[in-house]
Amino acid sequence: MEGIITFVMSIVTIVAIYSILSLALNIRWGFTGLLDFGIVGFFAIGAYTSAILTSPASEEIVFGFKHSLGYGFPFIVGFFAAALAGALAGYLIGTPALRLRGDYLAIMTIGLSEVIRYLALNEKWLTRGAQGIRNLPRPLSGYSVILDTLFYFILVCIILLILYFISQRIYNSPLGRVLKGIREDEIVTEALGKKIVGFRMLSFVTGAAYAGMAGSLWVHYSGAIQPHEFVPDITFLIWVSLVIGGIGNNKGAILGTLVLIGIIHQGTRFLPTIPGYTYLIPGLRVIFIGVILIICLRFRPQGLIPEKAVKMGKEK
Amino acid sequence: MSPLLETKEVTKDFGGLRAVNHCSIAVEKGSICGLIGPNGAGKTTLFNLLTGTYKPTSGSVYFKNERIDGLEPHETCLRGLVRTFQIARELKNMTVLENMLLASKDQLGEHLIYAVIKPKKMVAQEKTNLEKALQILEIVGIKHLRQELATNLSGGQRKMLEVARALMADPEMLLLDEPTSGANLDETKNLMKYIETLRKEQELTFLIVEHKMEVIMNLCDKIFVMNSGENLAEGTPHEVQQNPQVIEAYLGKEK
Repeated sequence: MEGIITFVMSIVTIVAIYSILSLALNIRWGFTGLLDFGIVGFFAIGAYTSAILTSPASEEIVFGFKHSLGYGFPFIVGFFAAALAGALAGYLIGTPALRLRGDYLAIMTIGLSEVIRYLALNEKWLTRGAQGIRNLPRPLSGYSVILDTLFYFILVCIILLILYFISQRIYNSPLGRVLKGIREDEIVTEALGKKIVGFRMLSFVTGAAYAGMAGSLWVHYSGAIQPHEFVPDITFLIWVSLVIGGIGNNKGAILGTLVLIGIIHQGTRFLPTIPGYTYLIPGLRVIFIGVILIICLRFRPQGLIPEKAVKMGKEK
Repeated sequence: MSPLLETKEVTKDFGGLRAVNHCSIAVEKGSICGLIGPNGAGKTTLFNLLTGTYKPTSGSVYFKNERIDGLEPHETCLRGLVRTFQIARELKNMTVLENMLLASKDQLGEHLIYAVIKPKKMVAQEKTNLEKALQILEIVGIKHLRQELATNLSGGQRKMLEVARALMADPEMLLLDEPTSGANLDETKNLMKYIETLRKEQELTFLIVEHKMEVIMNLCDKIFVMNSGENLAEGTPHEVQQNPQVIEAYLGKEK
């Protein structure tokens, strides 16, 4: 029984963390129409920021490098630093990248997310390279495992709720209106007196901060971090989640993540491997996700929960 | 008194093509001016030059005695020079009201902090803007469609939305690019009446590109005729109709 509870809790925690990524992508693509394929890069930046700041300091020699980083800060410091680092990276990357539109932005962002991964792999003095950073603390590390897991599960859910609430507020506000205006027709929105460059950047940076926070929650959930976790596959899983759930709808983003990451991706993780065909199930899983995406695009392109128009002044 | 909007020898080249050629026009405050000319005469290009969408190759544009060529489109809008588009560019997946309220100026809720915290000040401002939007929608005759997605509107209704939305941006001067194309007779008459009311009550100034001669001739105090990127003639509707060069540009030369 306890095993099942822990299993469900761990899956919901993972879904909640990925949901934050979906919300981030929704702000960028769903609200603003920025074709962004680099969300995993900001996830990685948040993850590494949090990992480096919270891991215990050590003087050991790794691959011939003296690895003296690791500041031993508590989780909370790592979390907020991850949000800030994500936002800052969003601003620095956005400055050149947001000059581009459409496909060009997509190519640039996917490239940059790979650059970030390779930096993590090669800058061993900072990230310990492929060996990764281990023994990352959680808020209640040191207490009993079940208490620690439960507390972290609740914490992640609360953070998701807060970020969902902020996303909803943005969507329903005049700011959300401008972002949607940019998505629908940039030229008109600009002709109506909105400074497009600033709003595109705001959307990009907010998404980056969300992804940074998700990164921090992820490393403290798994307790360890390695560069190969941050491959573009994550970006595309999030994309599929958002498409299935409903582009432009925050509830849809979360539901899509639950369906894709929770049920299909994580829920099938413990299926027994078939002897002699080790890669069969992981392979089938990817095929299955592809089929689901195609079915969704064919029969319900607006997603499970389609975007709702903001109805203002529900009067008389 | 110097004119509200003035262009001085404005020229725009696209590669080897000269779309606007040393064009000088002056629009007085509170007037309704027409801009006519055959297709390809450079009318829309001139609009794009006035609002900062294009930068002139040479020449200058003045609005309220300040030079505005070289400004970005959003800057010219914030200074009170607001345009509409020849082909209605409604924001399709947004409601009519969202289209309208997008255009309001200086919205507190466009700042992230305000959007998230949603203070009373912002809610009150939203309400004021909403009332203004409903008023305008009522006059242009699409109030009943206010919660409808803009993509569901008819061609004429979209044109009305286009003008209504521009009015939400608190213009001092409106540049209307074929505001009645695609609109039916009632809509056209209604809009003409509204333009005159706006001029009378709010002292708005208009520069209107239009192909419907009955609109132009009845509405305008002054008409500019463009041909091949040049300001061919200007004057009252009567003068322009009598001008042999204008007749030639429209009907061709007698052989």
